[in-house]
Amino acid sequence: MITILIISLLLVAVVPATNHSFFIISLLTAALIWSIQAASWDLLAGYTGLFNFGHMLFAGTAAYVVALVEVNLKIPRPLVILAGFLAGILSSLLIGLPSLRVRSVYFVLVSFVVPLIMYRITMSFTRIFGGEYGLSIERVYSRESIYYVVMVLAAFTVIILRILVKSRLGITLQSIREDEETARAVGINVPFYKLLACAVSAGFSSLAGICYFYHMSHVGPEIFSIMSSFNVVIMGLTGGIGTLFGSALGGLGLSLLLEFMRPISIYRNITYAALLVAVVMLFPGGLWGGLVSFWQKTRVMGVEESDKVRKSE
Amino acid sequence: MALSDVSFSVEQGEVVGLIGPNGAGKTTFFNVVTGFNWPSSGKIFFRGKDVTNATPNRLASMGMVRTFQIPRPFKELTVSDNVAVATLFNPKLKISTSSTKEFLKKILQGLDLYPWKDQQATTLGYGSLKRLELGRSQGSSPELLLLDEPFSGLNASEIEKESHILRSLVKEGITLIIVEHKLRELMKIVDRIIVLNFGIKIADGAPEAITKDKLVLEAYLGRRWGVNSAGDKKYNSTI
Repeated sequence: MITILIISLLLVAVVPATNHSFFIISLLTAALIWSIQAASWDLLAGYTGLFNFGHMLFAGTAAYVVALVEVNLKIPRPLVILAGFLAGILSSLLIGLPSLRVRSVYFVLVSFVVPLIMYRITMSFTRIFGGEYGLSIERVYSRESIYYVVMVLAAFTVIILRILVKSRLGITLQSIREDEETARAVGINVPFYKLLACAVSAGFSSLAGICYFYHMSHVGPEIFSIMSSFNVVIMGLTGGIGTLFGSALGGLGLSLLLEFMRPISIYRNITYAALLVAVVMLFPGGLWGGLVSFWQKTRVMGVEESDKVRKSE
Repeated sequence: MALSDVSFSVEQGEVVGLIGPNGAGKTTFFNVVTGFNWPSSGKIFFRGKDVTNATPNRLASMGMVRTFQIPRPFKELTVSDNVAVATLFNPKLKISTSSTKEFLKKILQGLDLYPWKDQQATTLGYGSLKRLELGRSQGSSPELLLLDEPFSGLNASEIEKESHILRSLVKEGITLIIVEHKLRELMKIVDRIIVLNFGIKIADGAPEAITKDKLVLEAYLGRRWGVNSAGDKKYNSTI
């Protein structure tokens, strides 16, 4: 908790410290948005066992709905944001409902396909969705204010998700992850909880997606692309699946890394592959797991830390 | 067809054994009764209600709980959490967390699992996992407990422990249906035995009578022994 506070303070200080640098603020805004995506992804993948390869469906739907309303209608902004938020949550049903009939393993396939359908739709219906150019608006909020909002949202996301996973809901989702049939035998309405997890995950992802839209003043079909959702998976995995903090850090870290790798961006895919291999073979707990085991090698273990170690193993 | 003619009823408080050779349809029967498979025909009634197509979780909240032959714990959860999950969905427990904690503690202590309550389920040995399986079922406060081979994989002393626990469950008024292969141990705790073979119920009665039933012996040991033991001297062993 203290670390969150310190990090938040640092992040706030960035704005005046860098003299409102456009580049730095944009960079950090994007990085924080990715970290929210990764953290909300982890709720589904790490805690419920539903590996989502189409996480950006939620953010993309929310962003597009907000964009459509902004471009075509004159509605008070709070309602617009609410509409986008609800649309994003509803989009989770597009992945959730079809995959209820199959076991969690096949969730991957369904989640992979649905955003691709959205990609096609937004690309093809150019008059409504702007095709490959997407939808753009005049800048509504300043970059600084979006930055602050995203910062608060990121902290909010991590804190709320952390509370959730430690709660009864968290234990329920984890038991679904561990053994779906046994979970049923124990009285858990598995389909309901899967949908609930999807909805919660989609909620946070949608909010981040809406922030993304107002930050860029633009949204395009690429948000539904394979790479977009795959980014989230890599971030969540390398950060540390099943740890929330880890995935959030993975989101932050990887997007910053990608930015600094821009000159050698042709090596991006190789970097992804290398990271995946590293996680699978060396650090199953991801970056967070590695940090935790380093931390507990240098001090006496308390009960809480051995919990984290167990989780990351 | 795994089951073609199985029909019987169980009274509250009974302890019924369900036996039969491998492939007889015992586990399929459990799966059908507890909602993991749906029957193509026939009906299942529990406490007067038709539960033929009920989902396992609905049955669990009604008081029908099953255990699995090969223990299926929630591996990454602690021993205590494994049972706690069941208590979360137990409609009979009051909301108060302290009384649930007490309930949980009692279950774990009764199964000699309390010393390991904060350890991950993966660290337990097979015998302990079988007891954890039982503990998880108790977390749901079952009225009818269907046990799938509770003694399988256990040595003599572990079976003794397990039998003792089952007897105490019976004392609490829980109805048991037990699928088992270890007949000698099973006979010690059941009031009644039902025998399945090739998906058909071939016998239903007190343990002593079952051991002499010729159809049962035929099912387990082959036709020659079945008919011979009934005293039919004319039988010709041409098979």
